[in-house]
Amino acid sequence: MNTEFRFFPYEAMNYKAAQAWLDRKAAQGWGLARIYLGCIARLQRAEQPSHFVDLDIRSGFDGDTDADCLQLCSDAGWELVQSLRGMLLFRSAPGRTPAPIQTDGQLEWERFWKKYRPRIWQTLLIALCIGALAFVWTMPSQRNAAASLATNLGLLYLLYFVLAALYVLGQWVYSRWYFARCRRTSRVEDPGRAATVLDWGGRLQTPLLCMILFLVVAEPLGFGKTVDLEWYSLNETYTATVEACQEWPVVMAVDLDLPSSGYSRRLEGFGSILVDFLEYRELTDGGEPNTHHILTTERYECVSEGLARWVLAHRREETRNGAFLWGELEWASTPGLGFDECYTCRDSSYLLFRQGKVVVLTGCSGTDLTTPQSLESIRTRTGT
Amino acid sequence: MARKKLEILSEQMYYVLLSLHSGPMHGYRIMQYVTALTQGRVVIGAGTLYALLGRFEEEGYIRLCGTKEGRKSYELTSSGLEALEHEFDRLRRQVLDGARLLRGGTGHEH
Repeated sequence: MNTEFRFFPYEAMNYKAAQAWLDRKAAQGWGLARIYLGCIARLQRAEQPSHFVDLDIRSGFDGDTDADCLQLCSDAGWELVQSLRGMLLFRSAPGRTPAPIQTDGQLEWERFWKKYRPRIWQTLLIALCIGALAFVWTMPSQRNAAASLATNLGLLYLLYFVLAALYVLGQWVYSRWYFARCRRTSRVEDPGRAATVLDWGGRLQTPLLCMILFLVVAEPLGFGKTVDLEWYSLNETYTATVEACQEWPVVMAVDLDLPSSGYSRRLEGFGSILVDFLEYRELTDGGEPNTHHILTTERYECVSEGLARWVLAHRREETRNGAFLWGELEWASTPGLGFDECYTCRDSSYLLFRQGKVVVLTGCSGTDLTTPQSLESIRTRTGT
Repeated sequence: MARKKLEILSEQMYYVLLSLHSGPMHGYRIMQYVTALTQGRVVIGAGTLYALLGRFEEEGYIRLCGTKEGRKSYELTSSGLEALEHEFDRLRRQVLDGARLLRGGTGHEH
């Protein structure tokens, strides 16, 4: 085998770690040929290869790398393999053993420090922003956060968020430690394993972002939906049928002996590895002419009881703050109805309960759901 | 932490200016000249030399005097020569002081 491919995660700030890695590869007789996709290194067998990784100070907003510098390196026996993320990757020209490109450690450190000194405050600022976002996200708000856990996109967002937070926090701690270490010696030191781990983390965010972008497009097109009987119309020809909806564990008007309007029935469901979510709505006749009520059922089947407890608590707070289509719901704890946790509101016309790993929010104005008959029906239909 | 503004020249700085004292040169020629002059004791990397040339040009110690086949040649200016002389005197005094103390001198400075 004359060629091998290896992962190359290094960021410019850790260019000495990249140098150390390439030195190890050179000692094994491998020379760098190319980096693909920004992180896949193609190495080739070579006679006494040597490499040098330098900071590309002129890259970025300032434009291309200075041609004079590259000319000087070329004259000295260094071939530029690639410019990558603010690094210049050099390989020795065949048959030559050139001197290192940087031979003044203090000059190199001054240049490095000038470029990366703002990094400490930048990462701290980003960490604070992420912390503030996390705080806002966990606050009960005008949306159904639990339902977002039931989509792969929502989960990926969460995963990305957690990883990004860990990464930024790690970067901040690491850069402070690393700069202090370099300052002590007035040299840019090999940062070692910590840098490699962080750079791996940084690179892994890219495929995650790609998956998120894919799902941003795919989910509105129906990817990840478990059931989609979304046709709700004032014409009963086009609405979801009772028979079709009855195949799913949701509370319907027929289950509570409520008079169905016969149209505007809607069932939607989606799932992720953590939560399977169903949402059902149906227009019911209110008893008087032109009066209607809307029966609502939300059902969350969680992967664990702990998550189900969180979903219930969060949904209770959200709906209390108005994250519900029919206004704010002031829940009162109602033990004794036979569920693990149970809350009712608006004269027991709305019920929020948890039984094991299943959380259900159901209700319809003007209907008492705590009668034995209704409870039995709710239990049977929701599988609790 | 940052080096003071060229009040004291590092060894590599000194040899870069010294090489230009013998006439205009392009970067790679300077590298070769210094290696030969010091018999390989002082080696200047291409990146380091590039940074030093930029710094010297900024300070007015050297100036561009021509470009041939993409290689820029530099020459020493009068202030560059002054800085070189100043450094030479400083180093000479250090050597004399050392000689007096280490080779049986009185240790007193003239």
